[in-house]
Amino acid sequence: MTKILIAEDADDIRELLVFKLKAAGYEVHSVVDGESAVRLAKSIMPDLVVLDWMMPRMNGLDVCIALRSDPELHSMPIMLLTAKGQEIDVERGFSAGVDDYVVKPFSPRELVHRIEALLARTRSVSIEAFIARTST
Amino acid sequence: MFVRLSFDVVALAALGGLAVAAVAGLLLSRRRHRAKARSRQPGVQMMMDLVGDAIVMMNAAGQIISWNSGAASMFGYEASEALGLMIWSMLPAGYEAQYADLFVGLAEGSIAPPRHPVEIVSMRRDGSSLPTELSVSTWKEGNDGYVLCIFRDVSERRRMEAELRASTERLHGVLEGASETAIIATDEQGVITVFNRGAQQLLGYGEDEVCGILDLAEFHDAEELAARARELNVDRGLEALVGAARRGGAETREWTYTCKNGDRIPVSLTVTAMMHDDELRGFIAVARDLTAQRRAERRVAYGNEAFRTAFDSAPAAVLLTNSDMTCAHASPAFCELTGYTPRELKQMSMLELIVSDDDLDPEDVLARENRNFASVLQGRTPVHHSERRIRRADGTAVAVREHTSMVVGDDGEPLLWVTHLEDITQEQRVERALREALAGKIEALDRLEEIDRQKSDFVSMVSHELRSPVTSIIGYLELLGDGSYGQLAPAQADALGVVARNAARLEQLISDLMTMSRLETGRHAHLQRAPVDIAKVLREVTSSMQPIMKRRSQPLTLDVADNVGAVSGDERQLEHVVTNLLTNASKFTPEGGTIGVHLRRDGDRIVVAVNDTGMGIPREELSNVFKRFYRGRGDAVANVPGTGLGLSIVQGIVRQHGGNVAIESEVGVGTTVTLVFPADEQELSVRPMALQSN
Repeated sequence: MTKILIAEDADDIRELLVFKLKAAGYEVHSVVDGESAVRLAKSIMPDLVVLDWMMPRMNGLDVCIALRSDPELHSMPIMLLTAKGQEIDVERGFSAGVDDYVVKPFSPRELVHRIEALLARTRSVSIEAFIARTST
Repeated sequence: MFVRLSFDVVALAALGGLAVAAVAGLLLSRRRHRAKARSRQPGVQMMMDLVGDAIVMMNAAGQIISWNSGAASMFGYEASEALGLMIWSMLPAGYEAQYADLFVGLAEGSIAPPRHPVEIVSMRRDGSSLPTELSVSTWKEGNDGYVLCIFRDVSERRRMEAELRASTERLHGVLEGASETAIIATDEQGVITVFNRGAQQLLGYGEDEVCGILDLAEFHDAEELAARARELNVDRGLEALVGAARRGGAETREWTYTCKNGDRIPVSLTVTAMMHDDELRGFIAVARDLTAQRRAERRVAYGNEAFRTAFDSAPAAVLLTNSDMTCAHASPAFCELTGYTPRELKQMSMLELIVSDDDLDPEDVLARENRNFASVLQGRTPVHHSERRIRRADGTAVAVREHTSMVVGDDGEPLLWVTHLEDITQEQRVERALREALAGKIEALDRLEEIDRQKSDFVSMVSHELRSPVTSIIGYLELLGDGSYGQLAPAQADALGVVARNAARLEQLISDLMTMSRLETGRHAHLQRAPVDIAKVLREVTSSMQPIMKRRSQPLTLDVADNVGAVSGDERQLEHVVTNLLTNASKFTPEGGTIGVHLRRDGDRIVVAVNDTGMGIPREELSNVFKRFYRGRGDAVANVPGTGLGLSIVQGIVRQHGGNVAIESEVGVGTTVTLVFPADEQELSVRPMALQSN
């Protein structure tokens, strides 16, 4: 089963995401701060991480950077949730290594669609990488 | 006539007259006592010899019978030689017959002897001639007539007369020549005898109208003369003129002359008494026309007066400083400014007025001043401008701006410093106040900007904080709506729809607020600039809007001209603009109305127009539509959801792109919003190559 790690300090939104993603058939783990997210990601090796930007103890961008610097986790798909919807913020997010970016408020249905799309893209990239590696 | 009988005005000298009488008497007595005559009375002879004149006596035939020593020395004959000679031996030759007749006539009494001496050229023994003056007397003794001739040597007098004549002529020449100067000579009575050309020109009278006719006082102002006469305590007008001269030497005074034509002219008149052998012979008056001088004096006086008036009435403080730094003159305004009286200023050095920050002694201050004024001293600039503070009489200092120039004397050395001073206390106060006001304004502006920034940050923060709850609301609404928590009853679904609509509106409001906040805080510095294919933007936005329009039965037409070009800017923001315009058009147009989007090129500009057949905007509201949170009045608008931020955002973004927004509208007919962007020239120049590569 595909594992998704959610890091979100707002209980309502976290529970909404957990509910929606479980309903969509994923194995969902959730934490309420950045440090826990990094720790848990290393132990459970999720297939995708959904990070809120503004979190206590370690914000989403720093979590993203920490995961990208870990050789085991550096290719993990990461989705950033934020209320910051401005170009500069989007740019900062992508430069930190975020794969997708969802601005609050969002529709849970749309979010599920985006997660599916991101996972599909990651898998195809992995296959390409596998083909590329085997062909050389 | 053989004798030039010149009856001169000069009277016979007294001595000559006496001699004739005395000699005649003696001779007569001698004739009476003929017996004794031969014995020669030594007294008579001695007396005759004492006389320098030649005394010669003749008988009726003209034969010399008496010859004195004067005659001997005059003619060169000793008495012994002369006696018996005819008298005409002493007279010019060639007229002997006439001489004989004359002497016979004289001796007989048929010819009267001349009453006055006659001038005659006498001949000397050595052949030379001698000018003489001859007095002739005759007398009879019995039947015999005798003639007595007294010759006087007048050669010396002639010489002197000639000299006198020459010098008189010279004098006349001088007098006449001195046409610039009026010279009038009078006799001792003041009657004019000489009236030179200068006098004629000055007074307008001819010589013949004046000489011997008028007296010197004639040309004078009667009142002036009378006043002078009273001063000198004399009773005649003429004496007022000549009185002083008469008493001793010359006197020069100014008088007023009246010319022949009635003009009155000021003259300087010098009157000199002409004395001869302590005897008054007349007066000489030399008059100089003072008209030009008076005019010049009046001009100078006028100039001085004008200068003084200008100086003293000037509102500016003016100071004239001597080269030794003493005060030459200070205008009343200067005195007022400094609080010193003119008298006090005259007694102090102007250096004392200077307030120097360092405690310099006067010499150093002067040296410094000279350095400051070097450019003026060296003639490089006419005026030195500076600002300084000067000390007033009450000890306070006053800020002044001074303009100093130099007056150079005839010797080329500085003579005077002319300083104009302006009190700039007020000016400085105003300047300071302005500076303070400006500083205050800048501070206020900074504060305002800070407040504005804080406000924007606040709006941004609030919007951000609002997003999280709205996310929860929208998320759970969706879960409820899609049956995640079980099927809803129709009434529950309707109620949920109301909540969802308002949540969406709230979401839009937050989004608009954040956009506005971003536009206002000037974050356009982060505007992504790239050539944007505006036609593509219009196509995409219209296509995404099509479903909504279709629902409202609003046909949407897109009219895009070919090769319009690109707009330099941010594609997402331009999408935002077009979306806002189309949303507005759709919202304010009733179902069944039409909406059009047009794109065309106009020179170096790109024009986008969105028009609708909607409700329109009243003319009086048009100017407000770009204001934040402005919403149209009236029920129709109130029923349309909106934040009143849409057009503000459109305007903000379009301006960021260097463009303009215009709106035209007519109530019940529709509205057209026109956007004008500058075309991206760079992109246009690239375009043909791109076409070629295709």
